[in-house]
Amino acid sequence: MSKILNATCDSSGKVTADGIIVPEAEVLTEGKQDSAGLLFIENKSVKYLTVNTSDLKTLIEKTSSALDDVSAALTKIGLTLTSIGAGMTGPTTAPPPTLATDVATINSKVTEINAVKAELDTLKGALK
Amino acid sequence: MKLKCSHGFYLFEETRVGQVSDFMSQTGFEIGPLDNLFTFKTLIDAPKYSIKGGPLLSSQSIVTCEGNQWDVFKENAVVYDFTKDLVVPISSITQTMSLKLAGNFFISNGLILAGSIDQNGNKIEGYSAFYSRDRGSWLYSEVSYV
Repeated sequence: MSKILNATCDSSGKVTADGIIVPEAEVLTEGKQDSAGLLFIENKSVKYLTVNTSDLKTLIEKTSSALDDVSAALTKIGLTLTSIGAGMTGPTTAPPPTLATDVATINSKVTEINAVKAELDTLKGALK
Repeated sequence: MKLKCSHGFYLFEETRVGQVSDFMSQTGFEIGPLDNLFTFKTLIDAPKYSIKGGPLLSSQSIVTCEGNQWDVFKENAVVYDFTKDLVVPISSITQTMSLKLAGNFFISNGLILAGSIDQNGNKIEGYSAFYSRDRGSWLYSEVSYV
């Protein structure tokens, strides 16, 4: 038999339930930012578990965004190479006129992927 | 009627319908149902957990714990003082009483308040009892001490 209470935890690991700070609560999750969760009391054992679905949602959103950028960059690379290949049928060695724009787009996607990667690294250090 | 006092938490059990009602009218105590038994009205809302620093009825919790009401009372070192209708630290009960052997039971002068000190200087934390209509008094057994 155990008692389960709604609780909160701040970024310093301070757990509060019933309006009272519970210093003996063991935070089972990362506890690196404010969160809402559940306090489990069994006999004298006191543990806090955050409801971290928001962490998961953010992780999925950022990963999905990064994959969109990867997909867009690879698509652009494919189109660019196709365009280059199409121009290699004659004596000219001139690049296709869209090459500069295509490379800029690819580089832009690489920048966006790196930005999402940085956000994921930040999230890793701030899990609830 | 049977009575079980565990760590200053009291549970009454009727062995005949109407005993609780009779007890209330004779003593003036308010008794109410708790699960399939009865207890003092104040104890009906006793929590099955405590958070250190939080309220425990009229007292303050000193530990964070969970369990039956009497377990929570034990961990927090409190008892119900039915003479004051308050939950108080067991250490605050200083009254003395005497237990006299009567056959297979002990008898005392009235209902024993958990935390009381017997004639040998031992502090009582619990007991079993039943009310004898023939004797007009409570007969005690299984007396336990702090």
